[in-house]
Amino acid sequence: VSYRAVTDLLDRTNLLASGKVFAIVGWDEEAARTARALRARVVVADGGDAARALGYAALPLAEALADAELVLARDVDPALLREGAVVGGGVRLDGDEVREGVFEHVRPDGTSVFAVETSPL
Amino acid sequence: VSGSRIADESLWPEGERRIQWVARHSPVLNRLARERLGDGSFSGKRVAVVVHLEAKTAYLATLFAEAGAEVVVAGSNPGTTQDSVCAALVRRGIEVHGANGISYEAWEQDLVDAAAFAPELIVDDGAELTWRLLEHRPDLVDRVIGVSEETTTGVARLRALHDAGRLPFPAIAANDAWCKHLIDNRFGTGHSSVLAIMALTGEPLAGKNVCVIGYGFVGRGLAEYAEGLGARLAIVEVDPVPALEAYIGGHRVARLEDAVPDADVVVTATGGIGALPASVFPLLKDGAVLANAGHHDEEIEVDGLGEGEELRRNVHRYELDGGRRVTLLAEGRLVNIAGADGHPVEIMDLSFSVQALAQHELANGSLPAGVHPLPAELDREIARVKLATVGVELDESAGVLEAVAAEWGL
Repeated sequence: VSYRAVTDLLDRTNLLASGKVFAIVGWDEEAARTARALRARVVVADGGDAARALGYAALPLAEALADAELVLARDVDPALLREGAVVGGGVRLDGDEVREGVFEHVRPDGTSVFAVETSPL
Repeated sequence: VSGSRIADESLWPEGERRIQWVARHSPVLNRLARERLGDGSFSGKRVAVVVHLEAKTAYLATLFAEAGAEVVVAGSNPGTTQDSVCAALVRRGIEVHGANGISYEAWEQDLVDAAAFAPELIVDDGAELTWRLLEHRPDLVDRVIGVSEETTTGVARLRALHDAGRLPFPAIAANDAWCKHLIDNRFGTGHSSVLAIMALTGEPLAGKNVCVIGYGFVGRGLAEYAEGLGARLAIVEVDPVPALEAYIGGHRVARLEDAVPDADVVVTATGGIGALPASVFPLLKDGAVLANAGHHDEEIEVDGLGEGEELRRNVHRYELDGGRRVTLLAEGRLVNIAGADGHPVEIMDLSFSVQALAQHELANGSLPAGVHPLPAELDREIARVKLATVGVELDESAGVLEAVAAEWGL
């Protein structure tokens, strides 16, 4: 049921997937397919040939996260995320709750990223 | 705020957080609309905002207030009002009439009270306030500078009023702007409705038969997203042109009574009343899920389902003849707004930018009575700003068209 990681992320944040770069860290076909169905541009970090064979961009982690506004990962270094990125899938980051289930993590440079409570990948 | 009628003022912290989240994710309103509204046009103006009363609407109302307007807000549907947002608006000094789950009589009174505010400019949804103003407060009609309308249904109502000689002020059909109906009606409703259906049922759409009733922009969006998620679609449509579009697009097109028996999920998207009439309920399969993504709460004839059992909030089960059980989402109200948080923030950033620029046009223009489009250059301006905020650069290819025109000596 890893599609729920995608839908929880969007339900919790009331954000749009369509048009956005949506990074999935590690190969999870159901999550990738769901994000693509919602018209996101899916990139898979460390997804390898399995992801590539289904038409997904498979990139090294840092490259996949560089442009991603939405991210699913079990764990992630917040320093690799772009400013304002919203990440779910099991990640926990310290911060204030700015919306139910959404936590703002302020990085040392003063920029923010957001961790969302979702079903795990 | 004096004159407000809301459920509970103490709920403001959650509403305030929701509004601030919207503000963070509304770059077009923050850049374009805020700058345009802040040019003095709204100083001292009385503005009424009557749209589904949740955080995105609240942010739009806040921008009018920041621009110097006196603002009243009411909900366009009693089932979609968020009480915490109402409380936050009141705390921000804005007059609010609305509470979640109130009776239609109380909601009607809220609209009449909003009309009594004597608005000069109206942001309307379904022409709900415009209609009440004309009906209940004809003494205040002369003060109205204009109205901008959010929905397909409302634009149709305004045109009917105009045709009947009963619309004495100009209206801008915000719904008909490209940045509204091409984006909001299709992607906004499609995206948010399929997510709401999956969240409320707790099940994916993959492998399910989904019947979409109505293939306007809302129906198209629903079909696109549901198909992407693995559903098989059947489209019910009365107009042959969109029905043909659905057919060529690869969907099964069928009459209602032929589509319903197979459907695991039935979604109405017509903007009309009785789109899923009680007369077809005997055809519903056991376990069918019913949802409404159109404008009216009455698209599904809910009364014909009889007495239901509430399984959880916004999920009711009904037992039909022969022991068949069907599930109704959000009591037949708009599934994405009554059953979830409504359109994504980024979609409403565009739609409400259309509304803001339409209001600016009304406040500064001299349009005659009637229903008018948003000027195309404003539509393009909104699209251009949105694209710039996401880092998209446009190719300046006008030269190609100029060359074609020159070739013909034009």
